[in-house]
Amino acid sequence: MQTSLPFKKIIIIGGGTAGWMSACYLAKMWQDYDLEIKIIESDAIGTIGVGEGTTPSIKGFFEQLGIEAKEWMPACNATYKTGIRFVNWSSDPNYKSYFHPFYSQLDEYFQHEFFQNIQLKHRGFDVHAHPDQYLLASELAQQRKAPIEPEHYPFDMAYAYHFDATLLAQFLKKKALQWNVTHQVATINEVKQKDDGSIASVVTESGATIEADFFVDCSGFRSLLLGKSLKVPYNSFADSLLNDSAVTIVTEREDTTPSMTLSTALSCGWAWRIPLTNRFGNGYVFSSRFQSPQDAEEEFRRHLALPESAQFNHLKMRVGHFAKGWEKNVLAVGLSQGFIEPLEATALHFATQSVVDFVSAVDNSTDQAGYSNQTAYNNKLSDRFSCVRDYIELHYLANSRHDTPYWKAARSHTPSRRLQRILTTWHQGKSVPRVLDEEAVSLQLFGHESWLCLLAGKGVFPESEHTIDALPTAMRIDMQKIKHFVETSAKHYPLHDDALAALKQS
Amino acid sequence: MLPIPQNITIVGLNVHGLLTALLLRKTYKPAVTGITLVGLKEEDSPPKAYIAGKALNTLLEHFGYSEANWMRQTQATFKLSNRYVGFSEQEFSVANASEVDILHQPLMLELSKLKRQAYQLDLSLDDFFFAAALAKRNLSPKAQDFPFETDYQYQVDANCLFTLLQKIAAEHSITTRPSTLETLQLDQHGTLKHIECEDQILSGDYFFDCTQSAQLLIGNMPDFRQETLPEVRINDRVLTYTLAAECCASEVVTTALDCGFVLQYTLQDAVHFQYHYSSKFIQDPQAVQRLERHISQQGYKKVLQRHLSASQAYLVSQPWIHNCLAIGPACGLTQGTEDHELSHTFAMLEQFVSSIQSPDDAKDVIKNYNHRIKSRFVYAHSYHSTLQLLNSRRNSPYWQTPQDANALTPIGRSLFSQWLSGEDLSVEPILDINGLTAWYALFSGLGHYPTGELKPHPKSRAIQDNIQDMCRKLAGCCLNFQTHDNLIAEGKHHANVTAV
Repeated sequence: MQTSLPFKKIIIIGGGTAGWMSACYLAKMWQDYDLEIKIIESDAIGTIGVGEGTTPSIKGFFEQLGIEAKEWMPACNATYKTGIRFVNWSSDPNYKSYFHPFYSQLDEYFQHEFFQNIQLKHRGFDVHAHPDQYLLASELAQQRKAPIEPEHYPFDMAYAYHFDATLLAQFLKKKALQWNVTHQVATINEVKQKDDGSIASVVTESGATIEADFFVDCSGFRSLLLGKSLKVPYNSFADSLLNDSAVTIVTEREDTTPSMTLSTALSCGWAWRIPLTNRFGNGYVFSSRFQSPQDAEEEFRRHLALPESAQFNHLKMRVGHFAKGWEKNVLAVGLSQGFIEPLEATALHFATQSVVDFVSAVDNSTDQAGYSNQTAYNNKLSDRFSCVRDYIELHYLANSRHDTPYWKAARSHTPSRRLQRILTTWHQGKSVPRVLDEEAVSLQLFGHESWLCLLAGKGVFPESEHTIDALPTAMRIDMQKIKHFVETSAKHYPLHDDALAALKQS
Repeated sequence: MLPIPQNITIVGLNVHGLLTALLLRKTYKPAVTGITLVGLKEEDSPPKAYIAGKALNTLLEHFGYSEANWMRQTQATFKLSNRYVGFSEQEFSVANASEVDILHQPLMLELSKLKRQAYQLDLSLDDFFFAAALAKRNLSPKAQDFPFETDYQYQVDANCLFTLLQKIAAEHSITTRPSTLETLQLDQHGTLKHIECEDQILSGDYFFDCTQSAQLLIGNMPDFRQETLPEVRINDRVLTYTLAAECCASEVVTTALDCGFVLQYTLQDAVHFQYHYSSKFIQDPQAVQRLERHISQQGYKKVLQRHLSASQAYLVSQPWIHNCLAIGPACGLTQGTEDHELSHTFAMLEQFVSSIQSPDDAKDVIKNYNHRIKSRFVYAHSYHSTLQLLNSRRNSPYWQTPQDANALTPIGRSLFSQWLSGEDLSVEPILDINGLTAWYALFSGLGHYPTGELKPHPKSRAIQDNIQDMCRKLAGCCLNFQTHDNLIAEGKHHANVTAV
């Protein structure tokens, strides 16, 4: 355990969401140390700043910062997120859509029944194995309710948020400045390295040299320090994840606010729809190998039923990650470290976990320099990337669309050994959770339920050969009981708009 | 295969006899099966309260009596838990099962194990049982839009129940003969041919003995034998007081006194105290004084009735012999701190009906019936004897009397050994008596944890936070439930309106 911090000065390069999150977290966690934190942000380089979806880990991140939802959510036009509904990923009419929930305490109640019916479905029985009916989050989303625990129904709820990333960066900037982070607007022209290759300083366009003993690279896809200066090798996921482009636009809000992200498969990718309190953030993620940006824009415009005059933004994405997230005296956080396309909104999960794990690694370091856990940190990060990549990739492998070359290509590559094993286990009707545990996949972002929801939700089952009547009575799940439980539970939760209004008032 | 009953004779005009008649009538239509109930009602019936399970409600609803209606007529209240006071340093509850408990049962199992491994933990298993949380707040088991089921029972006035059952029997083709049994006639195989009651001969293909401890039929069957249950601190006397009460609790309270224990049942407008004691250690007049002092300490004053009776634990070796079945206390009586008398009766009759439907050989069916019914008594007795033997009171000769360690039944011994060795408890429970968690509550409540030097647990803070979080959740869930008093008052109101 460190009794003093090995760093006196930390420079954070980049003032997007990742930069200000890092600044806040480092400032808060190491507030008792004699530490200077400076963030250098260029006014010439914009942030991506689309409507951002998140995973439940961000809730814990805000809790550690001591920032309450009522403080930051209204300031960032934020809404609650119960999960993601996937639409049109399957050509089977019984599986036109499914919900991937954030799995909550109450979902454990019928977990056994869900798992049992999955097994029976594999054995050819025509039982109900679609995940939607088992899960509370799905019902809450359907009713546009918020996943906030009422006092009289106080079961643990896992949930996340949607928010305007630009506004969040501004909010966190104010917090960071209150917590003694200094801020400088400058464009970095040069990076100076020491003999050992570590970063000595950065030089701004005005010629000022800024030194530090540690650097956090939040420079986005440019990866100014980790990629360009330290030349850490890059592991591309382009072979397995085809999407490399996105077209985005904001649209008006609806009368009531959904509490879920919508992910709709289109001809050469998929479209997100993220509700904020003032608007929807929309984007179409596609593969430029299969569709030109103009065609993508046109398809997306028709999908959203927008007029010809609608103005879209175009983005390019690089999917993959640097082999190390922490190299020498540089930690990369956010896009500068890696990115696995936005399908399950994992970008900020990686950003927050990276900085949380870094602080833990330094605090628990056995050497004075704070680097004893660096290898373990990088291994853990690589594992996280590869496990999450497998889960994202499974969305494409499990699709059953035949309408375009894109969707055929999306499932035509060879998956990783681990993903192959998971798929084989599933097709054999054996226990996927056991394999996930053996492969340590469930330690990462997506637990057993997520994997089963994906495969069951996309209808990856053999044809049914027996009716439910062929089952012994004791093995028939009473779906009415589950429906009653889920619907009755949902009654206790507030309407999403009411919950948002209450936040604003408080 | 056994024949479907066409002519049933039941002896014993009491709650058990009437329940037998009605439960059989529910299954067998009058056109197929004649049911005759023989017996005289006891004059000046002593006050008594029963604990009844949901089977009673199912039966009475079948005959057109809603829960609110029959509860009003029998002065019934709800029961969610049995709270034990004075059996160890801290009082503890044995609560009915609730589906809410499933969500934190893994935590309960883990922590009880850690505490048995000599970790220093501030742990009361009461905190883990939702029904106990409801009972402690005097809430009812009824809530709107709360999808978790919580098991509950009823506290019922025995005399009111008798009156109601008698009325229903009269309305549903039960022939009642108010006479006393004089003789019975067996054939050469030992099968009961007929009985004679005041010049009437009543035959039947099945005879049900509901004559309680008199055992007028089963006691005269050729293979009759009675077993004594391994007794501990035998209580041979029951002193009952009924007092006026203004509010009603949704729990039974069992309090250990110097020479026995007192069961406290709450009915609508009344409270029953049953003092089970041993005449070897306290004389009747002193017992009266002791109970009156206890009642006074509870704040009750207005005595409505009191009664003293003898009590003894027993069990017949064959509850079903040929065509004669012993039902209720005629079959057996355990001296429990938890009353299973009616639940045994319901179980016996359900088992009888399913036996009749069995395609198996009649001998095997009867053998299986006898095994199952006796198992119920032994299981109930195991729980009670474990409580009596393992409590930590040593303040009177009654409690100081050395106990035979072998008096623990095999079930009790096996479970206690599992508890002491830190294992998860494992027994096939008879759920309508006491589930597995009741055994955890018992061993934990009696304080059977390691003493001496305890180890601090490295995560004790997180553990206490978890417990607090769980208590917060249970308290939150309680907000959905109606208060017991209000629900009972509403039931009365509803019943009155219906009557008008």
